[in-house]
Amino acid sequence: MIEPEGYVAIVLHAHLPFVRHPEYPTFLEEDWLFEAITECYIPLLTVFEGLVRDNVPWRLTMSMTPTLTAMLADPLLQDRYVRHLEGLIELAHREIHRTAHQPAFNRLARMYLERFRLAHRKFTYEYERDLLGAFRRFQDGGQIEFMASAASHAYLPLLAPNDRAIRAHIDIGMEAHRRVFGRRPAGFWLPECGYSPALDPWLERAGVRYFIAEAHGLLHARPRPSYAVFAPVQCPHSGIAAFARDLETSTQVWSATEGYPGDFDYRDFYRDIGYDLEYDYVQPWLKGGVRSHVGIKYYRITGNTANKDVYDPDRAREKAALHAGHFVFNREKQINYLRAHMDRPPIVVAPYDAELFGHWWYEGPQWLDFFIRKAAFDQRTFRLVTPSDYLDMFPRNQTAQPSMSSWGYKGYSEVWLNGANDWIYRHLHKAAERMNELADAHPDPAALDEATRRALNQAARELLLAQSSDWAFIMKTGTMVEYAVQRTKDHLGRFSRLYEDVRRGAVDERWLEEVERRDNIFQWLDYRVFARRPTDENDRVAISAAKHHG
Amino acid sequence: MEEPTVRHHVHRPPHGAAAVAGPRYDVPHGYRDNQVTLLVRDPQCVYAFWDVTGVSRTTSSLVLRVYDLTNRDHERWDGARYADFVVSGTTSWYVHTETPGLVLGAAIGVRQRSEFVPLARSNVVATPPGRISDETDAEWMSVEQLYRSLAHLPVGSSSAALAAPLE
Repeated sequence: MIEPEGYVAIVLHAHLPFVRHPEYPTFLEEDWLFEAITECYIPLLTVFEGLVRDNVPWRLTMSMTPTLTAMLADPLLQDRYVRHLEGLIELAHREIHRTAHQPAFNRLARMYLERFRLAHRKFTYEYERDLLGAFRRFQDGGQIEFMASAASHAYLPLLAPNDRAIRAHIDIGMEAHRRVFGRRPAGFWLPECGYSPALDPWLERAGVRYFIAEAHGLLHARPRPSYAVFAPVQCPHSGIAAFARDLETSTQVWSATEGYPGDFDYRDFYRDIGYDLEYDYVQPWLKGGVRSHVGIKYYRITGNTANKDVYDPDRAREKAALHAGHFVFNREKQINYLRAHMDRPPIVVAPYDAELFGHWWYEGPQWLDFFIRKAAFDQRTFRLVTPSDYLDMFPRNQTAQPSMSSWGYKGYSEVWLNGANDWIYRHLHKAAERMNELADAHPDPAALDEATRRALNQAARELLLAQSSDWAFIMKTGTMVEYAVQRTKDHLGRFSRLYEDVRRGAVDERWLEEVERRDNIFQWLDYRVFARRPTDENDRVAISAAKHHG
Repeated sequence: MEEPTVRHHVHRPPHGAAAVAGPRYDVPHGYRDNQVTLLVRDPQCVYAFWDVTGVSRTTSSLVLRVYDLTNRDHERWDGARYADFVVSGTTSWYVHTETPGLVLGAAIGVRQRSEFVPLARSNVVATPPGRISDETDAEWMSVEQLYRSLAHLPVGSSSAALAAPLE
């Protein structure tokens, strides 16, 4: 094979916060998962299956967070998803009937019916509800490299100075990954690309080979990286490789103004029949009777106007192909330019939220399909690889200390630490301290009665769920704030009660059972992941060296 | 223009969040403790939060003293440069610094006569450099063209940043 001029790594980061409410028959926020399954995960799997069927050579990197994998494996949520989908199939039938005399709409109603039926067929019969197994096949087939991620999508830099909390999120994330994917991961996806040098010792100890930082994580590294963001560096104390996100590829896909998803031919996300049609007609499909998206949308973006044209899937598909070609062409240009200035082939790392593809950008999976095929057959300038592939080819890299950074607004921690959400940290940090205290006070689980042991494990779960960065993020962005605030308070409240009960030696088993039933994530969790370890003293020295390195 | 969007839950249509069954928990005002913690927000800002006992919340003499420990032994705070903030009536403070790339520590305390009496000392944090390093590596000569080609791209031009104009 002719060696290419450079490499491109597409990284899809799949994540949803843990939302599961068995105490209600239906729950609006559970729709986040259902929409993602129908619109993103099944369409992506369908694209991947087509690539394999057609013998297209491809490599892709994905992370699926432990909260997402826990929900995908949960029988209650699987049942609810099937019911949700059956409801949508019924709604699509009604829409076909309702639009019988409007051919342009009727055609779309039939398209949705076909999509929902396909999702139903695949989910129930083909995958037998096991979406994780469906994704795993591409790992086993050598096409997708899966990265691990933090236990509950905590924004890790703000867990400091509690090193044991950082360690727990990393170790639990690695263990959750091993349980789902059956392998030790090479890469670790830092939630929100949130990095600080204090993470290095714990990533190293967990056996992580690489992570991905936001561009300025490497641009501001010390010393200055020779190849800017187009080759990894190795962290000085840990030797872990840090790759950086390429801004040009991000902007082309992400940007609201310049990015592909804003094209006028693409489907408009906002014009949903959940809002557009008469209330009485759609009411049976609205959770709690509140107007919301149901997933049937008839218009294209059209332009800066309220008068939208009807969506034309063929035209949108053409546009997706055109945009994929544009993306390939620009990568060729970019890589040729970089190669002329570098003494080794560059790597362009392009990470995206997986939920962009199909949910927000309806044509995203088609675009990805076209891109991968064009990259494989229409050019020879670059090859698709994973970060591990690149490290195998280029094991020797410059040593530099990456800078603290994130991919959030302004590039640091402000999204998760500002006037809208800063009140949570004193409580989260106190709870984290108390968890350490509980773990230290009960070093031998065999010496405990069953209720106490369960209470300790549940306390650990409640802490992890409280630490999910999603709640702080939602508080900042201003929609669903009440839900995020209450989730934070509920997990902290349950944690505090467990803490007090264990200390008093009076665990309320009936209440504990109810809490275990609700927050049933990480059933295998052992609270001792928070305990002091004999090596902690040595760690402290290494950590102190890493931390004060900016 | 109708924007395609960026983060999965940023642009969810607003509606009343469902109530959560069971007891609704709340958080306490404080933990009857003497402690202060620093969190790094960005190259020029750290967030301090604290708890103090035995001091009236409204006392006019509660002081947050922030030490600059850059280029010193991080355990030895005596003799370090510091700045005082009168923080009476509050339990947190955003400390803005002119210079990025500092190592900082803080103490919460009271001023009695002109004397600062510390009640608790914080963790030590380092703020990020916020710029491209002047330090170059003899072994790996930096390729200046690569940096020039990136000059037009703003730092932190990220998913959430791109979503921001839509809010």
